[in-house]
Amino acid sequence: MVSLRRRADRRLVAGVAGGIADSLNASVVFVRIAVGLAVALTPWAIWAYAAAALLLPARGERRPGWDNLVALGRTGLVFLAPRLALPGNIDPSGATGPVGVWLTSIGLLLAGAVVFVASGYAPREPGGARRAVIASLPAVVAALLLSAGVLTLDQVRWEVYVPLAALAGGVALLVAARRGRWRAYTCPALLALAAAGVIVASGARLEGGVGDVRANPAPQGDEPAVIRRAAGDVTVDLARFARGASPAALEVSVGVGDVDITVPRGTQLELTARVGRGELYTGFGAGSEHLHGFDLRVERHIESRATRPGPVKVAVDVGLGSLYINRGDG
Amino acid sequence: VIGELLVPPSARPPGARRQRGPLAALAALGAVMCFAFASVGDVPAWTGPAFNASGAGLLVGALLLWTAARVTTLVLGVALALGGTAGAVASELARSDAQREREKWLGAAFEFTGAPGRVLSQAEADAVPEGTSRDALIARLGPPPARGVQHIDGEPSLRCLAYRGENARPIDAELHAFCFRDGRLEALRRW
Repeated sequence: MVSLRRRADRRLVAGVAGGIADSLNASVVFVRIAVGLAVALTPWAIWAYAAAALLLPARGERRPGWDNLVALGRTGLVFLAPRLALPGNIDPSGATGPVGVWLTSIGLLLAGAVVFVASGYAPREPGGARRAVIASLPAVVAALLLSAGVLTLDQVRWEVYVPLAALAGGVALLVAARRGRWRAYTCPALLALAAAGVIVASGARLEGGVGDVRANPAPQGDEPAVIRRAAGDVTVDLARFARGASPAALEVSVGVGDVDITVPRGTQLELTARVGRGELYTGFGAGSEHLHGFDLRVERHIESRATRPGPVKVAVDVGLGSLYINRGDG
Repeated sequence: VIGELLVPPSARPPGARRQRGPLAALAALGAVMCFAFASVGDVPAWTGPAFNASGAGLLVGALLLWTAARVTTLVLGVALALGGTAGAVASELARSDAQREREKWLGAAFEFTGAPGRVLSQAEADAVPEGTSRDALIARLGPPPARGVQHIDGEPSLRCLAYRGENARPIDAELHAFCFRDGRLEALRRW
């Protein structure tokens, strides 16, 4: 048995499974299937894989180096990019919305996946890992700054800066391509552009910070009650709205995440809702709707044996995610 | 034969791994399945850690089956693989029993007598000891507002006395149903 090292070429993701197979003189296909199953079925396996990508030296090396950062970046791309680009339960067969957005985002993702696999199988160039890390820095720094901003400054509309972050990735690509070493840089740039394209196309409003919210808001007089989240799930119970006598309005916006609103029985509801990409469900008996796809919009006035004097106006905007509106108990 | 058995699959070329190769592969896949099972379902509570321990045993057993070239390490590998398999089977059987126990409760039907009856908190309902007789329960909680039958899969139905819960709402009444077999309290069901 030879010592355990990662593969730096002929790898699919970070070379961990290939390294284990080489070390054990075992079938790389079998080890990849076992590792893939573990990552798909076990919550902590992805963290174990990422730790191995970061800490295991590449074959021919005595200690971790530049290629470990490349391996960690490849691991992140494989497991995070699809989650960002394909949130919710998307079924293309029943999807609505512009075909061009589908084709562009799926095409960019597929192109990124092809280049990703090709770059992992390419022979290792001397100094290639270091160049890849340095060339990726603008995109990585831009993404980190964007994430830190969304996390800490919750009054800013951060979706404006997403195209700038994508542009930084594009600049990295151009610089790398000019030097003739395109493989290592093309894939992250394509996937970053795909993710940025989906966020921009979905109209996600990245404002209000990060994290889940559970709210039972009260009417604010003439002003609407406002709940905003850049990323996270929002759960709202309108029971206090239903009990009040004054006009009531609620505005909810979530950039990436799910919104779940419970409307008490006997409440007149004026609903204006939009989901950029994902799922929209309104559960009002015979008038229930369940849509999925791009740019889902619903405008409805729901009035059933109302016990409250006036309608409750609810405006919801979800970028990437799902919106569920359910009728609660009276 | 022993000498042949001690040549590990890791030292053999592909296609000539012999018996230990497939066994090690099965143990490795079993380990992955154990780790996956550990994260789904949590009843009984000990089965999660047991699945993880079984998975670890199977994984180390698989490695030893694949690489061991000495009798002691090979025996250790076989023991770990067998122990891991036994642990996984025991855990799965315990989960199946718990699942069957959960699913044996079928529907129930209650008839309200018109009596207002006492409203019970969950703590008050839980405080009634198992084995209490029907008369002792009525003496303790007063006349029940509802009586009914709880059907059980594969067993005789239970007769029940039901009291309203604190969370009762007009369209969603909460009931604490005390169900008796042979006149003795056997189960407390909530509706």
